[in-house]
Amino acid sequence: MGLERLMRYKGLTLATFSLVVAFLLYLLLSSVIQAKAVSDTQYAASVSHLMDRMNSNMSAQQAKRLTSSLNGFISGGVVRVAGNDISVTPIEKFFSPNQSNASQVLKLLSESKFSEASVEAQLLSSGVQRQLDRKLSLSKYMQIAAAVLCVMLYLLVIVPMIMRLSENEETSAEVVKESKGIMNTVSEGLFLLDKDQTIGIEQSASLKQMFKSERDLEGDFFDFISQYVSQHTVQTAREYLGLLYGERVKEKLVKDLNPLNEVEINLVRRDGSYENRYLDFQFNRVLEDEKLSHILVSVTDETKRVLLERELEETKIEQEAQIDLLLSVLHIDSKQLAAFFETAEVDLNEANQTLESRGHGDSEIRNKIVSISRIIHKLKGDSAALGLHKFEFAAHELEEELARAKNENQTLSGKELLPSLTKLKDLFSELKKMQNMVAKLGSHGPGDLLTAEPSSEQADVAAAQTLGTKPTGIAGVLSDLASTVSKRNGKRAHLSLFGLSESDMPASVNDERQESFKSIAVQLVRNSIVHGALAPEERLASGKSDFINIAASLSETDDSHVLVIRDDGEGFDNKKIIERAVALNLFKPEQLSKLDENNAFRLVFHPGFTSLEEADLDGGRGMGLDLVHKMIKDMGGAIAVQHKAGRYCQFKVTIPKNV
Amino acid sequence: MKEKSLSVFVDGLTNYFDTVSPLKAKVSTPFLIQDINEYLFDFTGIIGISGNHKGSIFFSAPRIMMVKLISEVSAQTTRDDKLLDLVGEVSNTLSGNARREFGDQFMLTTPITFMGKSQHMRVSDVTNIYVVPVMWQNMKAHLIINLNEE
Amino acid sequence: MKFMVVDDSMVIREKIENILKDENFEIVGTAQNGLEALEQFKALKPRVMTLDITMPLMDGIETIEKIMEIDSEVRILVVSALADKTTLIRAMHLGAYGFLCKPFRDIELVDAIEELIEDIV
Repeated sequence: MGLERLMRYKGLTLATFSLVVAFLLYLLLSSVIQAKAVSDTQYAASVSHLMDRMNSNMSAQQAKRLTSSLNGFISGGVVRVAGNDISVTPIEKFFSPNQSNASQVLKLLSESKFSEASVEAQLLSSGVQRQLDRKLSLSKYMQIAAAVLCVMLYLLVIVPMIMRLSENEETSAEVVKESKGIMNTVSEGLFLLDKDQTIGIEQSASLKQMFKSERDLEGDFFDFISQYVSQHTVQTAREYLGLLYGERVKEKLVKDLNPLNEVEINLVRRDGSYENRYLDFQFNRVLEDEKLSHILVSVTDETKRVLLERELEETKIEQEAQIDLLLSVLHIDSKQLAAFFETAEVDLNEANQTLESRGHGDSEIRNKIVSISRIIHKLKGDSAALGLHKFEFAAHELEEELARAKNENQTLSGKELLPSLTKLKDLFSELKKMQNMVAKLGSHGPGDLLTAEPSSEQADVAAAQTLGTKPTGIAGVLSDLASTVSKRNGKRAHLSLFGLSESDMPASVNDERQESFKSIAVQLVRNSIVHGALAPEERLASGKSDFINIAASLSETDDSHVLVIRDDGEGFDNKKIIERAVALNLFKPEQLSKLDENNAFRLVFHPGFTSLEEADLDGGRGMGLDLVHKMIKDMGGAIAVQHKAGRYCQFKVTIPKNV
Repeated sequence: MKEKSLSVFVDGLTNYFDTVSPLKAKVSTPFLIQDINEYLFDFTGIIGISGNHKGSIFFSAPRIMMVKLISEVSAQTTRDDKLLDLVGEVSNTLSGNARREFGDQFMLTTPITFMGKSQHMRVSDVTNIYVVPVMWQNMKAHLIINLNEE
Repeated sequence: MKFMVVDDSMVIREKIENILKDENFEIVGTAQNGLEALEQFKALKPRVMTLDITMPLMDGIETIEKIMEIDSEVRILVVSALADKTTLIRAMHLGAYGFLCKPFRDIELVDAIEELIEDIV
């Protein structure tokens, strides 16, 4: 039932009512006046009757005169007639202007000496007549005044009252309409809880949407939310609301304790799965005369925000995992990798089909375990050979689970294979991830990647560069390293490698020497990136490419192997090196003063020297160049350094072929 | 945790058979699938899961098994509505059992039942949906466990 | 108005003290556990108190219980890194007025304190 209609109805009633009141008021006033007039008339009548009786003793003229005089008397007096005695009291009231005349009239009346009094009565009559006329017109005026008063009362008081009322009525109708509008459009779910935690009737329309409900919410709030959240949460919410109802705590200061902020709500979908929504319930006290009357509940749907946050978090984790995966995959020749993916898929499916095949007796299950173990063992070997350690590890775990199941003494059922199955699932997932990764990289084509220029899309060119090259040899290691180190240090690097992969390495470099060159090259390339390269934006600012170019080559002369590592980085800052050496207490200042400032960079080969303040994974322990120096010395070789501050730096390592 | 949650559902199902019938149910070797629809029988009940794990659990059985089962539970009938009702009952029992085991970690919906295949079924791009065949009186039902990757 | 700061971490104690002093609040005492807090409380009769929950010897929950027996009018602000809402709500039911989560920024503490004493200054 519309409140509006009710109000209009009420207004109408009131208007009618007020009209009736005004009318009644008028009737009352006029009847009072009328009553006076009536009693006046009655009095006049009785006097006239008296006159008639007196007429016998009076001349007609006298009687008439007196009658007309007496007729003028206003009511309020009492006329007593007893025989010939007439008394009229207290008629003086009406004759106050002519008190003496009045008493004379009385006297005249009571004594019935009309003839003697006739002159006086005559005299009197004109005065009385005037008074009487005045009195009569007064009564008429009063009657009119009463009517006017009523009308005015109606106009001045009741009409405005009604107008205001109907205005109020309109305002409240407007308010009702507005609040209805608000409740229908506001995105928050709003409702009130009374002191029994019962959900109020007024609710915003969005609530139904939020809870996928066709009807308004109703009943006990906690019963309602327990459909959606765990019992523990319901209990905590109950206690939390208890705090608000308790009125002691500061509402603002307990907001953080609200267990229903960002709560996961589960709504059932058609296929039986849940739809998850994240709703934020806020509770606020509603006060009435400083006393708590209700709790206002506002619900907001935070699903989008929460999901976005999670997605970002997941993406971050996924990216990190992908980089690991990328590094492991990049070691491998793409054809080999493709071949592995193919066999792995076949193998895993075969293992799965073995499980799916008929047979649930103990011996059948044991046979299944044996054949699956064989497949997985082979896969483990294949992945290990390619350096796919994560896959290898997962295969190993499955092997272990299978062995555990097989070693059970009890009669086996399918249930004992559940743990193995989760590991098999991990293998499927791992394979899928690698395939997706390579599919992404593959769109460039391995050959393209070899010569690709660094671009911002490619997380790391140095790493990608080797996808098509032989992953073995020093080249692969350096690419890998450059990728990891530059990423970790926020730098970018571009490697050009010559004579460092297995195919183009001088034949005279034996395995042992290859290891040595690898260690040296690793240290020098790492140094180039960590110490030589500025951050990409700084490099750009100094007019260079945003990536440091590092060229590494291994070649041979008649009697030596020569490793040259050259970069277009910052070179050495001799002044800084000296300061640092002093700071590290490696030398006394007076010792250093002997050093030619241009040769100060030699200090970097000193044990314990580092230019970085803190040690991290890639540098800062002061071991790099020191180690290089020692290795070269042990092999009877030499290291030459050329550099120009801000331009380039080159290390040339020469090792005699026959030590 | 994963293995534990799997076996809770498997145990729930075998317990059900063991309670209603003197003939024991046996678990065959479980395997992995991508397309649920391919492994559904005539009658299926689904329970939705959320909480620490999200996904759904299916109990699906051929008509012949349901007919046999209903004769063990109540009276002989082949009426679809009765059989659907029973498949819901089995799913409910699974759900209740899991609720006892997991407490607050899992949220479980009341089962939804249907006959035949369903067009709402998810097909995974990875082979990661578990199927546990449960044998009873030489008939096979599937317990399908589809948990989202966490 | 007398303030008291209770926290087992000296760093936090000093931090709270400094922030409140800057706001011209009068710190009458600090304590590093519930037992100390109780003793000082009896002597100093502070009107406002910041209180940690996880403390050695006597934790915040027990401290609130004991303090309420002495003076149920004291305004306690629980300042804690504890994430367990159930325990924190319990602290409120026992008589604390509000909660501020660690770590907090200076302004957050000041705002919380102002809210805490808004109707008694």
